[in-house]
Amino acid sequence: MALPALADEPKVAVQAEVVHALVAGNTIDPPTLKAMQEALGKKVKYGSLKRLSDAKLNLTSQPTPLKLPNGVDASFAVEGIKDDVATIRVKVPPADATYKLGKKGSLYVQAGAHEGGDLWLVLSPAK
Amino acid sequence: MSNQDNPARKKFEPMLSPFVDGELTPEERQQVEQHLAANKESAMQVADFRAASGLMRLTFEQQADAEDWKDFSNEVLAKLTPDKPPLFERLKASLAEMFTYQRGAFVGAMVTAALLVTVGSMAFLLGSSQSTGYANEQLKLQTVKVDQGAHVAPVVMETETGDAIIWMVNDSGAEPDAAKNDEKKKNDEELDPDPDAPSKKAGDL
Repeated sequence: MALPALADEPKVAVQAEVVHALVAGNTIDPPTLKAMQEALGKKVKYGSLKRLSDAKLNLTSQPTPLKLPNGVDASFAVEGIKDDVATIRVKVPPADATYKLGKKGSLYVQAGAHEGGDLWLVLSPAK
Repeated sequence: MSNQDNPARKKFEPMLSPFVDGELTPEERQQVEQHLAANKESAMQVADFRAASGLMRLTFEQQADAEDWKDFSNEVLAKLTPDKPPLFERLKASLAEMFTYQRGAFVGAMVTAALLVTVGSMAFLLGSSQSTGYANEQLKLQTVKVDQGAHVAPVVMETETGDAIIWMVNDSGAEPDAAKNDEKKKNDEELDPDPDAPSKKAGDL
């Protein structure tokens, strides 16, 4: 009996963090979000950043859903892998983006409003 | 009186030396003792045997005392060394002993080693799979679009550290909630061709 095709499908791991950002306040939790504060600081000076969740996602060509605290349904999928470089499709309605993974760098996607501030989705290389 | 004249002496004479050496059964010893009590000639012969035996013991003890036994063990062990078997033979004997006398521990050690190898291999494979797709040094944003009819437009920013940021800007020009600026873009337009621009309008990047 032939095995299902999915069994051979490569999985691509990414780290997905959901961060609540507020202009007011002065709390960075955890302190590792200081780098995010500096990256976003060229456009908006967020005073408070709080990580709401942190998950390692093993992505395939099938969309992996992630429900955000503000009700937005995000999803992630592997669009393709060429020369061991994976292209990932990220849907955070209404945005729809694709990017190639790299050993360095994070992708920050603004994911809508949440409790008086903004919700951000941060995709980084898997830990 | 000769042995031929005394049948009892003829019978017991062969037992006298074993009697002195303590080699008789208790029953035989008792019989010999009774005979010695009745026969002076045999008793004298036993006395001679004992004297000769004591003399011999004394002689050997004196010879042994004269010897230097200090390095006796070392000399004996040194003589064994040249006959040391080959490594393979010694390993074979060692394994055979282990398997015979310490079978439980031996099998347990083998199973543990096999498990460690299996777990190590799995960890290595899992570790390899985690890095799948990361051949590029740096993340690279490809395309950014928004749904038709959405009242926001994506604005892309890249940092010096290689991060990419996708901001959502209201069509009116105001960024949602906390993020406020004066950028105003339309969905899926071409990006600003100026690479030094701090932020870009998204589309196909």
